[in-house]
Amino acid sequence: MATFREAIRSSVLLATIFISIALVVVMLCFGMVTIGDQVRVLKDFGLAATSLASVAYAAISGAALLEKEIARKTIFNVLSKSVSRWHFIVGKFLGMFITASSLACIVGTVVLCLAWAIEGKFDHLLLVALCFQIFELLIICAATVFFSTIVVTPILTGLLCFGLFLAGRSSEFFLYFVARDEVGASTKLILQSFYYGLPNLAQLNIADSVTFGYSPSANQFILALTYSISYSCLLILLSCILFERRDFN
Amino acid sequence: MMLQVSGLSYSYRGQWLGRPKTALRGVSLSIPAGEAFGFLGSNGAGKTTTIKCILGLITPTSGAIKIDGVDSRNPAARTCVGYLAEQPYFYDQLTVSEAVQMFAQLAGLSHRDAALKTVGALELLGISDRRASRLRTLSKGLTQRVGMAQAIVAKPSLLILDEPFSGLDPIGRRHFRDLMLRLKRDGTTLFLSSHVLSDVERICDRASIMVHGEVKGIFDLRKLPALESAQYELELLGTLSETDHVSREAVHTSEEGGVSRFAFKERAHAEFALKIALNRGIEVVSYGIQKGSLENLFASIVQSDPIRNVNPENTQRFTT
Repeated sequence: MATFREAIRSSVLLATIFISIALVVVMLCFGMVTIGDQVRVLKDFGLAATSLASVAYAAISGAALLEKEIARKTIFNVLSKSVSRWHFIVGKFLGMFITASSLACIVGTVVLCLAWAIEGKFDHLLLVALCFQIFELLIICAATVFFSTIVVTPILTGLLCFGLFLAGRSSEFFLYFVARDEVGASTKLILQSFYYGLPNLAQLNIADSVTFGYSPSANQFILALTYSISYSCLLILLSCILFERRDFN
Repeated sequence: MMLQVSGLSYSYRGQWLGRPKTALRGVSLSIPAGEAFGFLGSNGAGKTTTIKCILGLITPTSGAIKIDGVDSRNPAARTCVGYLAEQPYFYDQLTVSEAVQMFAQLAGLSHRDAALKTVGALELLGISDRRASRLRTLSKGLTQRVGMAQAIVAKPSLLILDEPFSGLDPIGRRHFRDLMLRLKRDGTTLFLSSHVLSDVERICDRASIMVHGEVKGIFDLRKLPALESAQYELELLGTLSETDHVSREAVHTSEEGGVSRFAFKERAHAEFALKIALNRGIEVVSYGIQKGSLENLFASIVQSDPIRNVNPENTQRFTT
């Protein structure tokens, strides 16, 4: 709860929410110059802004998550109580995930309400897309915690996190290159390991489909949820193992 | 025993591929329940490293630590521990009350108990009027008080204090000292690491002195005057090389501004050295009994360390 309380009172979160909502409003204005596609533009760019803002927030604030605790020695006070290290890591992850999800929900609600006001009907598919974005956030937050346990500089942690997000969103490209003949066997192996090793965030990005009225099936929803939980649990488990061995000199 | 440290050693590498540095060498301590124990040493002696090992913040290279009979590697061992770090920092955006309550809950109290005990702890530390203040707005002294509040809020049976007087004004220092004496009366075991020797002398029953990662001696402070009463000091004009023939029985030697200083345990040894000096025509600057205090004891031990001392032969003389 301390992580969540700290986050909701920080100016970074408020600034991110403000910028994201401003972006949505700007997109609404852009939508006005299109012919009959104002709502579609709003939904498309609104969902993109929601995703980008929450991922950026998780990467930026999460990058310094452990480093700040160690540098300022706040971790000493916490771990001197009967708190296990895995308990600390899981607490940090949950605090960050709840904060980033809250951000996504606030910006997403603004998009939903604007679309409802313009279209005159409630689009439940936007809610489904928001759920998929939260599944994606689960993985991003877990990855941020993982990187912050192995990397000592917050900037590098943030960059790795963004890199993972971009690579995960573009994972289909790895298979595209694997299918091409001019790629060597070793390169194919590397690309395949990237495809299977990195999180497949492209499967969790359904903003385009939702904008065009496509509804994901219940199976797709359950699969996405299971995949996100499994992948993030694996990353958190690895983080706990690495953090357990760390000395706070 | 409330705290049992046996053969604790810790080595680390400062840099990748750098030579390992030894911070602790076979530290052993036994502290019974209800005792106030002073943990002394100069800067870099290994006091904070020992405390970090006790709290499980670093893993010792060898040795064992038991808190109230439980291995310190088990987080449950720290259920009865309160800890105040040197220059403590907390979460900036939390209020004083929220922070103390959070630590009370981390110590195992229920939400309701934590809220009740937080009120009591803040009153005890005289900061109840600042309960709604954000921690980032507090001065160093007030932050130190919050640190003490979170350390004692769950009524720990072992209280580990690392430089608790740092950042406090004289009133705050007296307040902390009185609080520690009160906690000691109530049966709390105190493990106090401090450079303020006069306060350690007043609060603690026993004290250890660490030099370069080793415990050089554990002393009963209630017997300190007796321990030190046999100190006879002789000051002679001249460097140690000019006067060293009188220092055979000295327990400590030093030189400053062309004056050699010798300390003797036995009066007969001191008088013999004085006679030799007079026979050889060495000018005597002063001769007398040195008043005993923890500060003198501390200085003797730290200065008799092989790395710092002028006379390395005296290294082990104070080890008890």
